[in-house]
Amino acid sequence: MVNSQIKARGITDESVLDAMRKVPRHLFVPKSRISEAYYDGPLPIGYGQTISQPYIVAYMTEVINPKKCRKVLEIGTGSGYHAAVLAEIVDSVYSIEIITELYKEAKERLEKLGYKNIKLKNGDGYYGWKEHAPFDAIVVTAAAEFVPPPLIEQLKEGGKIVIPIGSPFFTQTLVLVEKREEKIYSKNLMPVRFVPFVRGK
Amino acid sequence: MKFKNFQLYLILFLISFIVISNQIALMQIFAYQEWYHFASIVISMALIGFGISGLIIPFIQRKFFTGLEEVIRWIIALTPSSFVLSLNLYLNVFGKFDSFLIFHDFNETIKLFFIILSFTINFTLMALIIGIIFSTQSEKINKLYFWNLFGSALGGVGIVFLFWIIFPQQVFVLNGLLICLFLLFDLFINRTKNFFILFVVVFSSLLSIYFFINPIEFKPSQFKTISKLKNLPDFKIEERIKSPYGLIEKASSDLIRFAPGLSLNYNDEIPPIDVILVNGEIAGFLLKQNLNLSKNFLTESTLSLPYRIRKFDNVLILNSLISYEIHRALANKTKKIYVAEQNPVLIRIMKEIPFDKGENQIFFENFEPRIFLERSNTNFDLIFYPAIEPVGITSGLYSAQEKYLFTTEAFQKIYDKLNDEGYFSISAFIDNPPRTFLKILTLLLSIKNGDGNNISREQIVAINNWNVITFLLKKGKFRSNEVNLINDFCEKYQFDFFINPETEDLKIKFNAVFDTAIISLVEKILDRNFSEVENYLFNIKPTTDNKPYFSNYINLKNFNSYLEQISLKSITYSELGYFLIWIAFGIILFFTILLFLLASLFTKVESELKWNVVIYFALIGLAYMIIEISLIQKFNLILSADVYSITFIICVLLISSGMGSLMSSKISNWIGNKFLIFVMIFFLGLVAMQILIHYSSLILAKNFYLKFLISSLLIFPLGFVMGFPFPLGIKYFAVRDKNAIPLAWVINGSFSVFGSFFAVITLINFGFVFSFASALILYLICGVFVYKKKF
Repeated sequence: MVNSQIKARGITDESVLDAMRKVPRHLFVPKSRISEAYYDGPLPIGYGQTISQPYIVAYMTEVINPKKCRKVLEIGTGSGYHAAVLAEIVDSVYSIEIITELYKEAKERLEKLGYKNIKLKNGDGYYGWKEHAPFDAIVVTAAAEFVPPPLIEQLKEGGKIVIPIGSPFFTQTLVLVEKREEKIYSKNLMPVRFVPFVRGK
Repeated sequence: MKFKNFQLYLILFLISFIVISNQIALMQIFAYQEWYHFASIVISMALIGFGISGLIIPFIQRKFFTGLEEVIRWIIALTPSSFVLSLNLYLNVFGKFDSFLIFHDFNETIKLFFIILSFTINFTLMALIIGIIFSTQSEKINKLYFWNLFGSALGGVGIVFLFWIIFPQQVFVLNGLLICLFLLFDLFINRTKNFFILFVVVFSSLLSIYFFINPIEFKPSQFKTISKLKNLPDFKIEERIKSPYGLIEKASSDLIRFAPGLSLNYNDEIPPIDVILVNGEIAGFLLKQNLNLSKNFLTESTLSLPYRIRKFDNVLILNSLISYEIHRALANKTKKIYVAEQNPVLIRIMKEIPFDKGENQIFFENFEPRIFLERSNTNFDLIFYPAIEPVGITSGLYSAQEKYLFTTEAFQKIYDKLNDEGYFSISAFIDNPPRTFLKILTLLLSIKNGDGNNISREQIVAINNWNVITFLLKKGKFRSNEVNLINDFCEKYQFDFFINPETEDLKIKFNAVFDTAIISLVEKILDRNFSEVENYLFNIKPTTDNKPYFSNYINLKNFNSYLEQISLKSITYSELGYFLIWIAFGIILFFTILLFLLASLFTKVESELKWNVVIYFALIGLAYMIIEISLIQKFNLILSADVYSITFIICVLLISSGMGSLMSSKISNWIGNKFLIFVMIFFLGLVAMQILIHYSSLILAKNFYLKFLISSLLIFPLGFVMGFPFPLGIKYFAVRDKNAIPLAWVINGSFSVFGSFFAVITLINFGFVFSFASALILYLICGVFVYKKKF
C-alpha cells in the first residue's frame, strides 16, 4: 500500500511513510471489510462515515508538517485510524468525535493498540478543545461548509488547518488554512488533474 | 368466463386504480429512501410485471380453461399479502440497501435486483388479472381497455390527495384492504362458499389493517442528511407533515450550524439552528435566536455581496432556505422581500416565523420560482439565489433530475425581471474538479441584453472565500464606486475579488483555491472562447429547457480521458443518479430479454404472425412510453411539481387513450385505412411538440386552472389517437390466432420498459425534442409496417 498508493503519488516525508507502514489499517475497518482494508479508496464504517483513502490520510498528515508539531487536534475521530497515524509522529493527538458509537469503538480500539498519546472526547467539534489549545495543527476529517471560528482561535500563529471538500466517495480535494500575522489564508492542495489510480497493497 | 360485464369492468377499474397508485406511492417511498423518485425504474417494474404475466397467461388458460373465474379470484386474493411482503422486503429485509454504496459494494446491486424482483412480482399478479380478462374477452377489448385506463387515471388522481393524510407505505396496504373488500362483496353476491378464499381474505385484511395502523418505518440511506442528523446525540424530530411534495420534517438539535460563504476571520458565534427537511434532505433552517443586526455570520459572508453595494427597495428570493435569506435581507433593511416557494407547507412554516421586520414587508408567493418569474408583473432591484447544493456533495445524486431554474431560458427571464441597475446574485460551493460554478458562469454569459447583444464582461463580478464563490450580475455596467465598495468588502473579510469588471486579470489574494488551468479556463470563458468549454472534462455548457439537467456534468466527448484520470468509482459518485439509472436499466434489461426469449419460444403461433405481433406491439409499446416519459419531463416545467405533473400526464394520457380505445373500432372503420391512424398520431404529436417547445413559457405563466385546461387540450387529442393502436392490434391478431394475444401482452410490456429507459437516457443526453421526435418516428414506422402488411 505505502509504495504503490502513497510513495508513488509523491509523499516523501519518511515519518509519514513510516507511520502509514506501522498502523495496521485492517484493524480500523469493519470486520466485513477487512479484505478491502488496503484498497486504494475510502471505505464505509457505518453511520454515514468513512475511513479515508490511505493516500488522503498520508497527504493530510504530510501537509501539516507533523515533525514540527507537538499537539494536533483532530475533528472527527471516525475509526481512529488517522489519529493513530498522527500519534506515531507527534507528541499528542486530541481527537473529538460527535457520534457516540464511533467514539466508543475508536476509544476501545486505540486503547487495545496501546496508543497513550491520543486523547479522545465525545462531543461537538465546533468548539474545539479549549483546555488543550493552542494547537500546532488541526485536521478536520469530514467535509464542512465553514471553518468554526473557535478552531481558528485555537490555532497557533503559523499553524495549519487541513480540511476536505466534497463527497466522501468522490475524489476529494483538500484545503489548507494557515494563520499568518493575524491573517487567515487558504489554499487548495489538490490539482484538477489527479494522480493516476494504482492498484495493489 | 362467468363474471358479469359489470364485475369485469369493476375488477379492471379496481386493479388498474391500484397499479397506478402503488407506482406513485413507490416513487414517493424511493424519494425518501434514496435521493430521487426514480419514476422510470418504478414504471419499468410495473411494465415488466405486465410482460411476465403475458408469459404465464397461456399456461393458465390451458390448465384452467374452465375455471378462469376462480383463478382470477385466487390471484386477487393473493395480491394484498404480496403488497405487504414486497414492502417488508424493501424496508425491513433489504432495509439497508443503499444506493450511495452501489458502486462500492456489489451486494447492493444484488439487493437492488431483489427489490426490483419483489415489486415486479407484485405488479405481475395485478397484470395477470388484467391480462387474463383481456385475452379471454378480446371481443370486448374496447370497453375493457377503457375501464383499464379509466381506473389507472383515477388511481393517479386519488393518490395525490391521499398523500396529505397517509404515508406512501400505507397506500399499499390501503389498496390491499380495498381488494379484500371487493372480494368479500364478490363472495357475498355470488353466494360462493369458497372457504379457502375467505380465509385468505380475512388473513390479508388483518395483515393490511396491522400494517396500516403500524406503517413500516422508512430506513433511508445512511448517507442521507436525515440519517446523519439522527446520529447527533440531541437530535429530535419535532413534527412530521405528510404531503404530496414529500414528507416534511421539522427537527431540532443544538449541534447543527450552517454558514455558507463565511469569512475565515469571522470571530463571533455561529448559533445552532433547527432544520426543515423534505424527503430527508435539508430544505432550510430556522434560527433559534434573534441576530445581532450589525455583526453576524450572515453579513460576513460572500453571499452578502449585493447588500454591501446598496440597500434595496425590493428583493426577490428564489430559495430562502426557509428563514436564512429573509434574515439576511432584513438585516440589510430591504423594504419589500418577495419569497417564491412552491411547497405550501414550507410557506406555512415561513409564515409562522416571528421575523423582526419593523416597517419592512415580506410577501410569500406560493409558486415554483420559475413560474413566479413568468407570472409576476413586478421588476426587482435584486434577485437572489443562495449557494447551490449546500455542502456540494449530493449534486451527482440529482444528475437525472430536471432543474428548470438553471437553464438559459430561466436566467434570461431573471435578467429581464431586473430593474435597470438591478442585480442577480447566485453562489455555488467550489467543487473539485470545478464544474458547478463554471456552468453557472456559462449560463450567466448566455444572457442577452434588451438589444439582443450578449451581456458584457463589465456586468459580472465574482468573489470567493475558501469554498464558496458568489456571482453578481448587474443590469448595466458596474460603476467605479461599486467596484471600490466590493474591493473594500473583500479586503475587510479576506475574500478574493476573483472577477473584477475593471481588470482583465483574475485576482487571487487570500484563497488560492483555483489552479492555473482553471483560472485560464475562466479567462477564456469570459472572453467567450468556448472551444475550451467543449474540451473540458465535465459538461459545463449552459443547460436549456430542452435538456434541463444542470447537475449532469458528463461530457460524453471526453468520457475516455476522464476515465483515465480519475478512478471509475469516483466518477460514478459525481454522477450517481445517472449511473444508478444505467444499473437499474441493466437489471431490467436482463428481465426483458429473458421475457422476450421465453415468449418467442413458448408461443405456439405461426412464424409470420408471430413476427408481425412482435414488430407491431414492440413499436407501439416503445413509442407510447417515450411520449409519456418525455411529457412528464416537459410538464415538470409547466406544472412545476413532480408528483402533480406525473399524475397529471398519466391521468390525461390514460383517460384520453381510454376514450380513444372505446372509439377505436368505429373511427377506424370510418377512416378505413389504418395507416392514417399512425399519420394522425405523427401530426398531432408534431403539433403538441411544437407548442411545447415554443409556448411552454406562456402556458406556465397562466393560472392554475387555465394551465391545466390548456395542458389537457394539448395532450388529449394526442392521447386519444394513441389509444387506437393497442385495441385495434389485439382485435386484428385475435381473429387470426387467439394464442397471439398473450405474446402481444409480453412484447408490449417489455418494449414499454425499453421505452421508458430509452426516454430517460435520451432526455438527459439529447433532450426533449430528440426523445419526443424519435417516438413519433416510431409511430410512423409502425404505420408503414401496417400499410405494407395490409392490416
